[in-house]
Amino acid sequence: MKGIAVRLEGLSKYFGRVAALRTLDLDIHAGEMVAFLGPSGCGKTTTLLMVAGIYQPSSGAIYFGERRVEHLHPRDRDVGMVFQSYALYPHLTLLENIAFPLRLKRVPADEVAAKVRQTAELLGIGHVLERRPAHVSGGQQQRAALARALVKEPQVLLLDEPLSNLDANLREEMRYEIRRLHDEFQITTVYEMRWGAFHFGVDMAAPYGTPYYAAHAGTVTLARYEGGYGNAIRIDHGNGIETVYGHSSKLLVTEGQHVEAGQMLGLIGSTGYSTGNHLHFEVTVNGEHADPMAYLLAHGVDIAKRLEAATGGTVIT
Amino acid sequence: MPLLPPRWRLVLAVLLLVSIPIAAGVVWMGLTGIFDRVHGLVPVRPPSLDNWRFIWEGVGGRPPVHVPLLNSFVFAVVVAVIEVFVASMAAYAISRMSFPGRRFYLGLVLVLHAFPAVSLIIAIFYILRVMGLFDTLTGVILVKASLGLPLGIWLMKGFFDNLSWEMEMAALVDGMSRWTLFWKIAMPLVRPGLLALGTFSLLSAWGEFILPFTLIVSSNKALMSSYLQSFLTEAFTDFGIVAAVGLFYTLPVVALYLLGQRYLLNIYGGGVKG
Repeated sequence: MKGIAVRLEGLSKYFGRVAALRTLDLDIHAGEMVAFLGPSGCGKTTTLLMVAGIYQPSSGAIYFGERRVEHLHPRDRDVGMVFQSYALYPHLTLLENIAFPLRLKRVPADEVAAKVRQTAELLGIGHVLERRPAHVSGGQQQRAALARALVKEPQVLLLDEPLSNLDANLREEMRYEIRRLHDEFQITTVYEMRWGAFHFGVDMAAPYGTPYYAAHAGTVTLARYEGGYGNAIRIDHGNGIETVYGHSSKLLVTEGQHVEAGQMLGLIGSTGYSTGNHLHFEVTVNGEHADPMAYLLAHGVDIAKRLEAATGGTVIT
Repeated sequence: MPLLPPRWRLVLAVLLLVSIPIAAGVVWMGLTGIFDRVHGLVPVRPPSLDNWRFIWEGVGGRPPVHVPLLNSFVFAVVVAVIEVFVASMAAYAISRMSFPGRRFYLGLVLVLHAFPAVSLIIAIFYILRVMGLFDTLTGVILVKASLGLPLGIWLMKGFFDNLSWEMEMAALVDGMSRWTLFWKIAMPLVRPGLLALGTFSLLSAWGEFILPFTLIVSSNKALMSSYLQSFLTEAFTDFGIVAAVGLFYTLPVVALYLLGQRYLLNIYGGGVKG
């Protein structure tokens, strides 16, 4: 089981006249895990729901492999999704919840039973399958939601802030679990988190001392300690867009220097910075603050080989 | 049972006082049905089953009681089924989908709910005549169900509004169509609402008088309410039989109320308990 490559081309979504997402271009390789992060309202969930097929894009294209899918019903996309609230069906037992996608596909009953059992064991909820969601813990609900998404062996797995409702211990555990499942199955995974949860994103993507890279070419206008960001690097891309990378402790560029896209800019939290492994992205357009949606890549031995801010494309003004 | 605090005992006393006339009416109905003649609330004759003879024979040229009884059953059940199904589908669409005129439609439904149905009776009579549905059970069923729909739609909309969007999205990602989602996820989750609306419309249809009385003339198509009324229009009203028929007419309602009161309480709560 291995995921499929996902490509977003000029993806936009308008609700009436309000732009929820403006021309996002994104390439996700087969089997990669990618995290979206940004403040709420910057279009992360909208993007995820368009990939899932809940929303129709206003313009742009979504490719799964070579297949264009944006016009397809969710059931024809082979996507699994875990929602922030888990969205389990409260009137069904965990067993029935997990079996639901398979039953809809008219998989034979004995095969359904075997697969549900297998997936539930994998996630450690085999012993509570007969209970309803209200009668199991939050962590078990989370695992059931994950099992429901995984049981149909999707090509793409979408996780919408899946850990934000869990307490610290469980979050640690589930973070590990998600990583383990991804390493095992290599499903293309898109992971969404808020700024507040960003710390986790970097944790997962970029442990201590992870280098990060420029998303776009530009001129470094600032590379020093700046307020709450720790050492910040500010890059002017020359098209009115400016990106700020923050909370790095080691800088590898200097002011006035020209950087190419993909150039290494600094290391995150490499020496005892008190707030830990944080990284901030900030984007301004023509001097005005704008919410960026950054995505970072979190798979492979050399995790965080890329860490980009998708600036121009996804800026919401 | 622990004693109520004094303030509540006072409230209870007031409530009991206010309820006395209603209770007295029910007691009168019970006593009169059994004892044939009652002065005030005091029986003056030994109990007899004579008042209940309508159960085994047609009284005064009326059809036997099982005819209006069956009609009433059919009427109430079909009205309730139509209301529950049509109202929940309409309510789901209003709650979940955006379509042109949605707000206007919602307002219209509310106005219709506030509209006194009796004022429409002449228009309804005319429409049924034209459609060839006058003096048919089908005709009254359609009228009664339509008049009940505004309340049903608003009630069910409240229940559907409480369902989480994420859960519906999950259902779509799982591979359901909007239609399967409605039946397999949304409907089971608003079950308390369905039961409340079902019970409510069943009771309302069971007790309906004006519509069947006006729109049905043949005595073999009459409902229980018209059957009961027919005993009151005689030259010498036999109150013993009126009370007995009334009691007979009330029993199914009492039974249903006892069974369904849990859901009826929900009707103004409008909540789904997970």
